[in-house]
Amino acid sequence: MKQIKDILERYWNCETALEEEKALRAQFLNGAAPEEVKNAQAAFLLQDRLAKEKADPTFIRKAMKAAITSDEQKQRNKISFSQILKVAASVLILISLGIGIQTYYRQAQFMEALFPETFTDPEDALQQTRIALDKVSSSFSRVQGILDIISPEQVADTLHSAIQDHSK
Amino acid sequence: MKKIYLTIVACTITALLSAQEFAGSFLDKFGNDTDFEVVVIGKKMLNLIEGLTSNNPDLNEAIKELENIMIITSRDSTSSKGFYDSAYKLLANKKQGFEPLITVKDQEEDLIVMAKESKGVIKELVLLSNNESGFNIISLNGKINLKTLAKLSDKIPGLKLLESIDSNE
Repeated sequence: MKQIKDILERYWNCETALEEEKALRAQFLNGAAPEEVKNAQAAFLLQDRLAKEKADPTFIRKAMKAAITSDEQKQRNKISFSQILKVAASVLILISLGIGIQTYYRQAQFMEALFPETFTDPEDALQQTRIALDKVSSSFSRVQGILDIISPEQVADTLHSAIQDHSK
Repeated sequence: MKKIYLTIVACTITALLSAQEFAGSFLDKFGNDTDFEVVVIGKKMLNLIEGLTSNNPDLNEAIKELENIMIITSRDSTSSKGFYDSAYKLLANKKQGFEPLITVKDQEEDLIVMAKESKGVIKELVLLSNNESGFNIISLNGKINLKTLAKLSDKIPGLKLLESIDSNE
């Protein structure tokens, strides 16, 4: 008992040799220890258990994986929220375009509703159409008077340029 | 990126919604307080008329590509000059997108013809006139061929000019 106590005393002071430490460890791990050194035995038993746990070669790998998985999960949560926003924005754009296109094609129906056909008889409509188209075409021939002063090519160039400039 | 998408959508919708014909715009602004005579010949009626003009190929061709014809008339000679000026201001507004084709101003009549073009095709042609009989708007919508319209009149020299313009387009 005294010997154990001495070795134990020197162990705590880091003065023991390796063989003494092995002997001490063997004493505490394999057999019952005296009451006076029970606390020391508990410490050695704990140390032995921890040493075995740390000795698991996959421990570090498991710890790292747990850390990475936690980070990845957080990242995944962040990305899905952002993706939801993108999807919502795309849906909003599609709906807006749909409404715009529908409104454009309904414009014709709206105009028809606001300004319904005047005539029911095609003959009456034809007569009015002739009058309208004659008025338009005769307005073109009004420039005939000008052609006596300015050459047709100059007038044609002017009108043609006006049309081309507008199309640019 | 989201801002760009939303900007594109906003511009598209604005462009689509702003495609109202001139006659409609004019009546929106001035039609409530005044009794205008409005004549509308829509696509359905134009299709029926097309069947009646098979013996007149030029008229048939002119009508075939039209979407509608609107004629707005006011016989009130005291206000007709005012209407003409208001209609001209509205028509000449750059936002409307019209270009002048013909302007005539003489003792008998003030007249202007303007056209709206898209990708080389005249989509809308508007004639404004003011004379003793009153104020008149004639609006043609659809695919308008000046050469075809020109053929409808029998005053040849001016028409050959228009034919040469259309063949160059």
